[in-house]
Amino acid sequence: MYDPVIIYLLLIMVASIVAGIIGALGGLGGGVLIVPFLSLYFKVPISLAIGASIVSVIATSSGSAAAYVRDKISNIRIGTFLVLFTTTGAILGAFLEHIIPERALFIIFGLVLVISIIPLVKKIGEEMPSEVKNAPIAEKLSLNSEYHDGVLKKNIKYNVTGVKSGSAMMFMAGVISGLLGIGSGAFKVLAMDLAMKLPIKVSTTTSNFMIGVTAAASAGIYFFTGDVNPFIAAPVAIGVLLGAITGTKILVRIRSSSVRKIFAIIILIVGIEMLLRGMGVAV
Amino acid sequence: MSEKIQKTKQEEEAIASKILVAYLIWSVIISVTIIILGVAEYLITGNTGYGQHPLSQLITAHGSSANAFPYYLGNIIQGITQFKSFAIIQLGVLILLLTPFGRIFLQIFIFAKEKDRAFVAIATTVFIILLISLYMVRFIA
Repeated sequence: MYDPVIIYLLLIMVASIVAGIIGALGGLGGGVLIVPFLSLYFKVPISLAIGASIVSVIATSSGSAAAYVRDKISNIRIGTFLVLFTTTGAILGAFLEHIIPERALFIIFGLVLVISIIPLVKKIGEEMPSEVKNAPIAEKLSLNSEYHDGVLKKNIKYNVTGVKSGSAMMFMAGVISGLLGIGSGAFKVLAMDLAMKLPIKVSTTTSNFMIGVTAAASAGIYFFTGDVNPFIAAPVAIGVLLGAITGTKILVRIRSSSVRKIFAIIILIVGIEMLLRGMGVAV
Repeated sequence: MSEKIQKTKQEEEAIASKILVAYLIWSVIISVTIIILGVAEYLITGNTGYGQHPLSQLITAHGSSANAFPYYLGNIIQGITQFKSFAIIQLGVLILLLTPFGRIFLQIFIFAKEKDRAFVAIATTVFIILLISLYMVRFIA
């Protein structure tokens, strides 16, 4: 009756549902939650945990994409333009993996994340960015758009600025993604929110589209080298998909300021997690 | 006149988003169904198709070090023809992992239909980068 195999599978699935909900809301793949969860509590080796994380990232992305495309919240033009930089970065990251010590990277990116809390907290109560002017390239590629906000019950028109600095941050996000096998959605949302000044719901949903494509650039490498273990990947995939679909239903109903708060908390957790790992504390 | 153009553009966008949504929903349904079938077979028969392993080995088995599951195409297909449960799960997972490839591929045609040359070029470049990443498996594996 209490078969340990079934209990194990169920527990992974429940944790994955939670990761999927948070991932779909915050624009990340849930890998930052899945990896420590599997390696800490379930004694899964780190390489297999990362393999499962890649599955989780793509499952969140594909599971929430249908809803976000239909609701027209995610901006596919911005997303497609920016994945140019994340995928290139991801390939470079895969090469760099052999050169740069991983711990140094964890510390650098952990610091970047923790520091970026400051501007996030400053505008924590902000519902919408105000008075943003289109950058010339945004004008040229018509990146500006609008979406219907289910809470404010009106169409929100928005412009896009900071395309250059945003693209540079995306490239860095891609490098981390290739290096660490995560979606690095936190960095993507940060770039769109702080540099490009997009409404937070547009940032998280567009990031959801982008993490899937970015993760796909390293998914083949992880799968075909044997890092994706079906016993772990199956409950993760099913759980994360269920969670992501639930997350999309929540996103359209909550206030932008709440999404921002959830995102700030995630950033803090991820930042501390990375710092600890960089300092050699096993997480 | 311009109103008419506006309307056809909106209709085109609506069709494009419908195609994209259908693709996403069906690729997720197909992959998850295959995964569930594999899991069901495993739970009912208790057989992975790749030997008996205790739980502690199942969760630590890496593809290249233990023969506990298949991880390249030929192996997976061979396992499926023999109804091995872990091969079936791997097929579902692989389909899921490849959904972003198909999505970008579709996006190229959607931008082409919208006569958006700049974005046809951008999406095509992204697709090529993804293909290069698959090719790189050779050098890392």
